[in-house]
Amino acid sequence: MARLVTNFDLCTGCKTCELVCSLRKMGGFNPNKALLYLQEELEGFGTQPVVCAQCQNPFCQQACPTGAIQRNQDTGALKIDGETCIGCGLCAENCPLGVIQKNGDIYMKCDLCGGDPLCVEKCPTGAIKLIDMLAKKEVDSI
Amino acid sequence: MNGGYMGKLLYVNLTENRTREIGLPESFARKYLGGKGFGAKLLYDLVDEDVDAFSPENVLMFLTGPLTGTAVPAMRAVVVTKSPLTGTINDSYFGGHFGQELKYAGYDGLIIQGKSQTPVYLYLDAENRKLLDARKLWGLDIFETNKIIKNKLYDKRAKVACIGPAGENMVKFACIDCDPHRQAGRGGTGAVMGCKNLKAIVIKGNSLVPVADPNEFMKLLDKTHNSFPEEGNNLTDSGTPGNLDFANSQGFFPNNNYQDGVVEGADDEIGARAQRDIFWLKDWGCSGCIIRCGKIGKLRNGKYIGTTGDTTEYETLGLIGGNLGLKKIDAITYIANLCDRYGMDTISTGGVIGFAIECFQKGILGTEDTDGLELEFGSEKEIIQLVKNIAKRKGIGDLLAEGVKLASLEIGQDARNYAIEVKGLEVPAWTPRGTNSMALAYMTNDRGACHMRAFGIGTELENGEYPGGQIEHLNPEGIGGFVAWLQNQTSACWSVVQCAFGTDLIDEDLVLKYIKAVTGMELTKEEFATIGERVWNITRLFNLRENFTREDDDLPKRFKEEPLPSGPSKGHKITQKDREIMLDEYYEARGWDKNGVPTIEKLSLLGLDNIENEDKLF
Repeated sequence: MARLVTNFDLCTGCKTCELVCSLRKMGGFNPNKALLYLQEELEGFGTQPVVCAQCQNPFCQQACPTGAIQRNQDTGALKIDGETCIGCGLCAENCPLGVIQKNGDIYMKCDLCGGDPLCVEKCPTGAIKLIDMLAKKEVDSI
Repeated sequence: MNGGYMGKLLYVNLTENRTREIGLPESFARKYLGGKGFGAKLLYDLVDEDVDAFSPENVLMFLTGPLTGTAVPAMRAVVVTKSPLTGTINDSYFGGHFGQELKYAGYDGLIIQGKSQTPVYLYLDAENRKLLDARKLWGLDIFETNKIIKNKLYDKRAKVACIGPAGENMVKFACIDCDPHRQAGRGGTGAVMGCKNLKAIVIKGNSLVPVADPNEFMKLLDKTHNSFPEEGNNLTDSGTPGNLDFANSQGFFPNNNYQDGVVEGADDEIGARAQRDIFWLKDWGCSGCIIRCGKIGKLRNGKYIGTTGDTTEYETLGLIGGNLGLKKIDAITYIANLCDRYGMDTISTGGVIGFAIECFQKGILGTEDTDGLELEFGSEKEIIQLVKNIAKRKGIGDLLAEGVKLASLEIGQDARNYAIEVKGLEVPAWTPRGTNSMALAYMTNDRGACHMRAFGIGTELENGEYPGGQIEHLNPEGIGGFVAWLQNQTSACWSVVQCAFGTDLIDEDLVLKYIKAVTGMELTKEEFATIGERVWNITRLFNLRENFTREDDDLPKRFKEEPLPSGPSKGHKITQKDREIMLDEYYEARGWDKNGVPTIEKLSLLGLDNIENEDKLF
């Protein structure tokens, strides 16, 4: 079980996290298509990375009409199964954080890269960290 | 091309209110690469010598490179246009995220021509490309314009390039702000945008920049990230103000309209340490950049408390600080913020105000000319008033808004003696009297006195080597080939479009590997060098067509006649004889004739002998 934890003051707004996420998950570069985003704060004088909370009470999962969203027991991440997803978009509509994106005919969300999140690995300042919820410590992968 | 490029450019005609997509042939990409290369060739094709910079026929282009918009650190974009300040080609680079967003909208570049009847802004997203009414935005400053576009019209993820009042008033050194605090700064890009009645460009892109070989790309990115120290480098620590101590100790830092090259105490009073004490809050990085040289902050005490901004950059410290006799970091930061707000280049603003102050001191200008302002170096209040008057073209501001060259010609008398410019572009914060390589660079650079085309100061001070041989500090011999070599190198890098601060982190080898991984295009070092030389020669052909000659490859009188008063190179100046030696060698190294005209042999080696007819996209 793991979660991403973000840090406002370490984030330099460079969007490396968004860039590498879009390459891995969408197949090309565009930060607007990433499964996380930098929220501009203080009139552009700082950015807060917003990541999937892998909610305990996931609106996306409850809204999904086909049961396509299931939790991976090892990582604790909720993943959308591409085969079961019908592309209705209810998950994205109901996500309070706005981190679910359309990719072609289906929707995608952060699955912690299967336990080895690229945003964590590539952030140059450590503004996104992976926390093992059971051991209660920072880890590289889960 | 299997990636990197989006494969098309967008042509926008403001007169006819129409847009059209232009395909980008692979052969064109291979020959000119992107950024500066695309801009040089397109400007050569689209803007003839009889087209005034303020004519609707002049083009305003935003161009990217093959790696812009990917996760490769320190990649930028460029605005290319004919400069109203110099009449030369003008390529002006900007970081941030705007150039990247243009690619996410599906375009490698934007070519804007014509003139709208009323103020408009251009909006681009996945489905739309339209010109919209900007009458309610006209007159607003850069920050207000951004706020309204992001908070009211669209959302915070929209990327905005816009002009402020200075651009609207066609101040000849107005800049384009590309998301706050990243400007296409020099040569009057904003004035061209203003004269076209184009207030802003707003982009929200939905396309993916494809990558030919993602696995190889990630390996290269690992290598780049791992080679960079976790705590960063000098730029991470101190940003560009970190240059101040070095420049001041070597006598390169402008003092009172370039009368000297040292400002006593500037290191402590206005440099990185002073800014950290009362201004900076945190590091800030452009798209994908791990160097994070930006330092955003807020003035925490004093008269200008609450002023926000990014780093008060080295060049601004030089031109608004040293060159105007100001030694208070809060005042310089406030004035830089005013320039950002109005949308004016801080280098030229400082250059033209320094010129006005010296003219006043020498009795060439009096209070009857300056609307009653008593001008002197270090007079904060009067300087602030001048900045406002220039942006609004009020009183003497209207004359100064023409730039140092035209203002000095208009004033007459001895004013030319105090006009510190080359080809009309005000000299940046590296006074050249103690460095022949920078002196020759200023003389020969395509847009006039620019420090970003051939920065050889470090090598020169060390009597260092380059592939053509060894150079010696303050010896004019051997400098010509060195400067030509540097210009060719930067010309290739500026076509990629690489940031100058990233060239150590990502050297030429790595750039070529990235280009291969992203686009699939294999370029040898020789081909890359040829692209640089080719592009430089196109800029020369453009300027020659504009009637620039060897006579224009010159320095301001001050640098040629007045010995440098202090610093390690005290007593040195660039004599007329030095100039002739350096120019002769430079032209020879370039394969140009004695008048600085490329020979037909050189042009044919570079594939430019039929430039009038070949590779035309229109």
